[in-house]
Amino acid sequence: MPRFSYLLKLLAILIGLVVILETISYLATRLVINQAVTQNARAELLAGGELFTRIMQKNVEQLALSVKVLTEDFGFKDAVATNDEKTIASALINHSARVKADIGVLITSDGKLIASDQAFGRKIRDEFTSLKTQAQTRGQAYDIILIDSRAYQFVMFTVKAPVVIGLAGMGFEIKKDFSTDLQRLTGLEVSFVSHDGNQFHFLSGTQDDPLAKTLIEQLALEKKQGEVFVYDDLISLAVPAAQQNNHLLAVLQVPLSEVLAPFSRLNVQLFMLALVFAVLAGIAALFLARSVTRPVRLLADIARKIAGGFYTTPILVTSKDELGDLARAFISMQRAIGEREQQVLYQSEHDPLTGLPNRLRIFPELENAISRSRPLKEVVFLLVIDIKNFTQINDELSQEIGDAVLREVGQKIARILTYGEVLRLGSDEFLAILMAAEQESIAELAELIHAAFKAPLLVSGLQVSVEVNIGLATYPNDAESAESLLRRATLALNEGRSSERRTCWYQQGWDEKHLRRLHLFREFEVSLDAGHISLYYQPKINLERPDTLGAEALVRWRHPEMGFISPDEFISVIESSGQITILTRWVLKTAIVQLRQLLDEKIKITCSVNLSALDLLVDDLPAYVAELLQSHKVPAENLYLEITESAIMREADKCLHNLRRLRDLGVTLSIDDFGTGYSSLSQLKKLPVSELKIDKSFILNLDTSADDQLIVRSTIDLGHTLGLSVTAEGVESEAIKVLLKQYGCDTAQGYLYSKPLPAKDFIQWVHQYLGELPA
Amino acid sequence: MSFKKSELKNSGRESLFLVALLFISLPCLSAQLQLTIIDDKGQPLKDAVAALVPVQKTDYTGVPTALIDQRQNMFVPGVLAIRVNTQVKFPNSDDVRHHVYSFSPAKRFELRLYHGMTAEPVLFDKPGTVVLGCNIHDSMVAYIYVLETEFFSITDDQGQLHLEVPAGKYQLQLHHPQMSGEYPESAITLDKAQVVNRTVTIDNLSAMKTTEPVDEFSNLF
Repeated sequence: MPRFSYLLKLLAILIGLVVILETISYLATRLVINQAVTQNARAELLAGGELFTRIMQKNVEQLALSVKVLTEDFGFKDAVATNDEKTIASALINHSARVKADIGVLITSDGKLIASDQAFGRKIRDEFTSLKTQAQTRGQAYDIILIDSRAYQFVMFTVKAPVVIGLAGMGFEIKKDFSTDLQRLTGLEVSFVSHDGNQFHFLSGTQDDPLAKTLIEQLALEKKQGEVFVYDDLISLAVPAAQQNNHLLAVLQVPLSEVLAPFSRLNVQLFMLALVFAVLAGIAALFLARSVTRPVRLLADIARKIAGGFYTTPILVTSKDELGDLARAFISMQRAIGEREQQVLYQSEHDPLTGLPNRLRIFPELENAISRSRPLKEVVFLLVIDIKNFTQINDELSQEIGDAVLREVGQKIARILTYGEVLRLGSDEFLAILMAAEQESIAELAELIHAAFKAPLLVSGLQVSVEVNIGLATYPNDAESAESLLRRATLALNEGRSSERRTCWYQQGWDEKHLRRLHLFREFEVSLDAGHISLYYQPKINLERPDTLGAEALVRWRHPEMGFISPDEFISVIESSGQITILTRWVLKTAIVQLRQLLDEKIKITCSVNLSALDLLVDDLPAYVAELLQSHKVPAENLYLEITESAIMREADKCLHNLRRLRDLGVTLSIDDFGTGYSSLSQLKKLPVSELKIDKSFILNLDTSADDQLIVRSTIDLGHTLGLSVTAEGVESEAIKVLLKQYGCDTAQGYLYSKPLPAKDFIQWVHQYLGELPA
Repeated sequence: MSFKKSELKNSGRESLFLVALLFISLPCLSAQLQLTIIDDKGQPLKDAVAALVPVQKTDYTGVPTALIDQRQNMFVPGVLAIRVNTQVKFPNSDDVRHHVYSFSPAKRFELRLYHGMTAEPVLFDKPGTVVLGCNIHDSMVAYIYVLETEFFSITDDQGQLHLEVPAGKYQLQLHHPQMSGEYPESAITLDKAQVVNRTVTIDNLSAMKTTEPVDEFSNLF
């Protein structure tokens, strides 16, 4: 959870910090305490060593005193002087018991040893040597002596009467009690150890066995006397147990734990304090994190709402800190974005020129109207209005005036339509969405609009006459959706425009036709590539010489789904889309290839191909035809190119130029569907054509219509007068053929001979026809 | 000379008597012994006793007296030489009481605490060395050499002594408190009107005994 991570981080940092600080302070405190305590303990130990020596001194003095009492005794001196061994021994026993000595000895001037315990006395040998020497020279001596691995404090005095007559000594075993007493007095652990030159031996002391053993091991590591050493938490100091004897040591020790004991409570307190701090840090982190994450989360929600386009979330700002600042920034951002979006939206949905809603608003407004109309059971009327002569105004006056006109027209329409919505669709087109129960009221409104433009508009001091066309469609009568409603209203407008009706209501089926045309337009090239478009050939028979054959190549489109599509329908579609030139080239190529095949079969025949007006506007058509003829080695006189009268009407000069170039190739040019257009005779005269084809509408009923007979007869005459051959199309009966022959018509084409046939069938037909001709 | 010296040392009426006695026999005495006694370091040795014991055994009659005073917790003189069968008096000149004793085999006796002249004189009837002590004052020591001759003397500060004896054969004995054991006797023949000068070195002397009391146990440890 990302929301959780901030809290966790904060928690980790704060608690981590506390733990680190506490650990450092704890360790530092501990270090300082340990050092201080250890130092103290060392000092204490050294002082203890001093004390120990002092106590030992006092102890020795006491022992000495107790021995001295014996040697000072006159009776004892007497016994010694008289060498009364029995008395001496008994005196030693008696005195030893009195002073709690473990052994009492007397050494006579001739070296004999008398002891309180004779068996014990026999064990003493060399141990006394130094003691004796010292006593002899100094009159007194003290030492610690090892006998049978037991340590004895030994005090020895000379016995004087008044010259030295012997040495008397007493031994006091160093028992555990002794160490315990010393421990009580010094507060230190006391151990007596001996060193026999090779290793240390534990004699007695306050330490018990496992500790005593480790002590011996530690001493073996060459610990120096008089220096403090530490092992196993024991601060230790070895001092000589007796001044004269370095084989005997007293080891004084202080357990560190004992010294540290008072501080362990401090440790616990420090730890508790650390715990409390950690908990406080945790609470602080929780509080801090909440105080940050809650408003941040709130702001994040608001940001998401802003992202979703909702700009009115109330933000309550109470804090004056950075988060409050952020919240205030959010408020102003939310407002600014909201305002800016409104502005952008307004600009994007409104036409800057007229101030009217633009095409982006069309569907929202239409949907709105549609949804409102349903419960009201009203009809939505969509008016598409365009300025009939706007291009002219723009071209002839100026674009500025054009813009002014647009502005005026828009405002005028908006003024007239007191209810509903007026929008600008684009260029010179406006939309009006109205709701009404009756169609009549809308028709009246349309008339009102037309009436408003009766008087010319005054624009920049100019009087500009404006006329408008209105296309109308209704919901739900004409369309079932906003899209279709708009399309159908536009269709109605276009329909009205082309049929010179200033108000045109949409009629059922228009849209379907329109859609079919769109479909055809899309399907055309696909079908051409797929081979669904093919050429059919209809024979053209010379009435005077029936063996002179011609054929007209006719395009047939058999769509796999839509079925047979009439050339009248799709030609107009591809003409309006400009695809006609593609078709023409395909037809030319296919027909010439076919012609080559027929010529190869020794069939003398010409072939006519229809050209569209658009083809004549393309300058490279003559070159294309020439190249085709040349590459297929087809003589130019075998190719006929048919054009309609209306085709030549547009851009006549250019057409004429291209026609001449085609004729110059040697190709024969024909005028197709003659009689349906409005070509003047003077124009006809200028055309480089050689053939004239009378439209089949004049031929079909030739045998029954006197008018047609008149027209056809005079047309044939006219053609002949102009030096043209004349072909009649749509010849379906023998009677008509007879009539035509009678009128002097040169060639006939029609079902009388054959319907248009696919290439294969056509060839077959040709063979059959030629075969049936009388020789 | 030596006589005069001994006279100087022994004050009192008894010593005067002794001097007079010596004087009577003077015409028959003719041999003289001049001794210088030094220690092994060549230093003159004071308070050394030299005795000439005649080889021919003689019986001594009469009981001479001698005296060892006790002054300022000291025996005076510290070294005394006497002929066997001499009575020695131990007057106490101090105002404290002394307890004079001897455990020496030559003479064991004990004079329990007393003042002044109250102690009985002690007869030394056996030859040998008697060490005197005081049971109260350990530092008080005196040596009495009981000799089997009348011919003896004690060295002065220069370690010198002088003896005039009848000519004849003698055993020379030497004694000193610091000597351990007996110094070997040596035979000496002294002729008439002859003065024998001799220097004797005594080694192996034990160290001088300090007179300070040894109570300081603190030195023990």
